[in-house]
Amino acid sequence: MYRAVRPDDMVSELVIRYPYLFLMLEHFRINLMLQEKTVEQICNENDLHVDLFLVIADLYVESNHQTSICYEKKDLQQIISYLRHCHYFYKEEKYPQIKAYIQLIKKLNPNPEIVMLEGFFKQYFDEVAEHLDYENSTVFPYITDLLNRLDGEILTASNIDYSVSEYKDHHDNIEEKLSDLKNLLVKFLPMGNDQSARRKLLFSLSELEFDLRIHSQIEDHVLIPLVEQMELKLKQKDEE
Amino acid sequence: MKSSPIHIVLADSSSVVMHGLKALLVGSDNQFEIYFADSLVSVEHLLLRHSIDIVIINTVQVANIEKQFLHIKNEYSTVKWIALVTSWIDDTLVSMFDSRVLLNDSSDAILSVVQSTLAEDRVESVSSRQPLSERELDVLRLLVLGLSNKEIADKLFISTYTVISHRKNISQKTGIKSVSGLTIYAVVKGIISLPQDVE
Repeated sequence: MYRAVRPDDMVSELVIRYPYLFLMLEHFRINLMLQEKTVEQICNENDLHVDLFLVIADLYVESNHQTSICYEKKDLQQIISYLRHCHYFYKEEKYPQIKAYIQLIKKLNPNPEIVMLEGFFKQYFDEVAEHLDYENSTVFPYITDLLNRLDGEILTASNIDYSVSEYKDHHDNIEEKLSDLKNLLVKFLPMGNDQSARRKLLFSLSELEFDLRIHSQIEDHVLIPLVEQMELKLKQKDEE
Repeated sequence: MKSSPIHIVLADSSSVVMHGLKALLVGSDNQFEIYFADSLVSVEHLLLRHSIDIVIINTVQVANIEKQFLHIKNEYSTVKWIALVTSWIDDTLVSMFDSRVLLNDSSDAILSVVQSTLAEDRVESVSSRQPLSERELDVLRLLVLGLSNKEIADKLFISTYTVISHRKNISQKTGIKSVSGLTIYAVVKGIISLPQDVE
């Protein structure tokens, strides 16, 4: 079976070839002293399922390969920890960076339209922050509870009526406005003395867009189906 | 000929067929980025992740799940669908596609179907570069004032459905979907004057 990333590949070489993988390693909280270790070695050291690593790495290198793997309980915890780190990265690193670039553009090109852009971004960021907080405070604890319940531990009463389908409804498309921002920036907003700041902003937005896309793919195609499976299992267990 | 590669999905259960089609496409004048899929579900995964221009899919993969197929087709309306006919199949099924090729067609015949399907595609992408029509401008002005589709419909004496269709065209032409993004667009283009509350 052909794969873009294989267990015996050297991780450092993969990162040099596909620099975005560096970000993926960070999200998995993998120590970045990669030396000459292979995917398999790195996974073993970090107690990470090799298949899970490969599935997500495939998303980062944009391989066309589709796999379905058999997930374990540990994987689900790893996925949640991964997504939590993504959230941290967006809120604490990416958004402040984007905000700073917009302010720089505003300084170099003090246009009323740029002021509007700043407002647009502020509003957008508030929406995203709300979404991320909701996942952190409601969805992820719910999944952890579900895992405990499957293990026979008692569930905290507050979450019993929740179901992941509600999460689906709540799952807004936060990529849409990002694309609007790029379109405004490149096609329409009047250019002043801000060309290099604008390029930096554009690159930063593209980087964020790339990671966000993978983030929502993981949520939609890995996390949600997995949780739905768990909900079904639990229902069957309850009926027994 | 497009300068950027054409993204094309080949969907069949036979890898011999897919590799054969790939060889045929790669050997032509156009530049292709080829993806393989073994089912409609995996096609959908690819559509989600990549900006695909054409899907060539064996009709067998679609038979009995036509509803699902039409749903995906609607969702990804810019994608062109070519039926790969390898066995006897109901004509109504084939008619759901933009065009079709037969397994025993010659290489030239298959390439020409792909190219003519692409040509249709190009006409559409040009039309999306046209400026906004008067009616679309009317809708845009009301939209950025914060009116709902229903309110816009009432004001312009058109149906809500028509408003939605205008909005779709506006987003396609500008690349901007959100109302707040469109507001900035409208100000930049001088379609509306700057809102008062902006310092």
